[in-house]
Amino acid sequence: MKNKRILKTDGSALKELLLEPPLETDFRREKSCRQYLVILARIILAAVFIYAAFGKINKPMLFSQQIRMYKILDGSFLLYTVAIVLPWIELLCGISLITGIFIRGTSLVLSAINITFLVFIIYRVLNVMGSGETAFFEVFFDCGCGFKPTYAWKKILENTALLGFSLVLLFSREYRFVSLRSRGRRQG
Amino acid sequence: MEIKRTIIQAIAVCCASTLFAFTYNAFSDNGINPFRQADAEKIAKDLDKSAGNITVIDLKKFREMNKEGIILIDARTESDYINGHIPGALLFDYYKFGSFADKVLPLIDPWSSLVIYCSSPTCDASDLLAGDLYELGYKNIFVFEGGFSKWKEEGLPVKKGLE
Repeated sequence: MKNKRILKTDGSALKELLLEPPLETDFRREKSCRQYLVILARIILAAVFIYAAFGKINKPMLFSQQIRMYKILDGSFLLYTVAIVLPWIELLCGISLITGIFIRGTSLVLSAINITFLVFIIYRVLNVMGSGETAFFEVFFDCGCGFKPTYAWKKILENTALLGFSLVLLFSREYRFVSLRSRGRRQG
Repeated sequence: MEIKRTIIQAIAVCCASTLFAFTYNAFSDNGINPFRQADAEKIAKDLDKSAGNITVIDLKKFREMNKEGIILIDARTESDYINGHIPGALLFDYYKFGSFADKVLPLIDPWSSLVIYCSSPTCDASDLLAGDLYELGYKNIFVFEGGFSKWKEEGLPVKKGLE
């Protein structure tokens, strides 16, 4: 139907059509590639953070004990508040990534907390290395993230990857979960 | 505009989380009071002292008392306890209060002197456990302030494994 209509018009529209396609398909391919990256980042971040949140959401006392091991928050009120609120921030961020509601704000929150986690973990590793003369690759701890105890260098790599994904989301303009639907309107 | 909207959304996410978190914490069985005091001296100030007291002691006083026959309680976790504890200490992980209260409390006479310690001078498990045991009726409670790290620093004997 579309082709018929174009044939009816004068030559300029036809010329336009002939010139346009390669440009447009290139643009689209690049666009869909970025969209897949965004979808991947959303799925991975949502899975990690929701799993981590459920690990500690009902154990604020144990979690506060684990935060205390970082030797950064020693004061009681701030420590307990973090222990109560942080798992919920993680859970809500995970839900937001799945549903697509407030996703831009969520990616900002996730970037901020991932940077904080990274700094805390590195600080703690330096602490452990300083006190016990442990080599960097041998530092082994329970980070209190809601996962099993592991080597610190693995945790640092994981956190860097998560931070990367959050930054991809923060600076991306493609937030639609299904990339082929509803062209033109941007969500976020 | 984009930046402004992003920041507003981020604040909204944080506020919603805080709201959910404190609401859940208020109704959950495992909820904690963020204003809880972790300092034994502060806890002791608020007590009704007619019956007894919570006293903070240092290493010297603790070693003197240890000879007289006291009940020593280790408020750290089970793995910390297995890695090394002060000889004669009973394991009572404060952060698993429920399960240890059933096991350990029947063994303790309410009139005996209890000395509680945790991992370091800054840890609060011993202070909080002291407050809770006082509420349960144990009146002669002492908190060894230096904790296990101080004991180890002095090169004093350490026992490994469960007793």
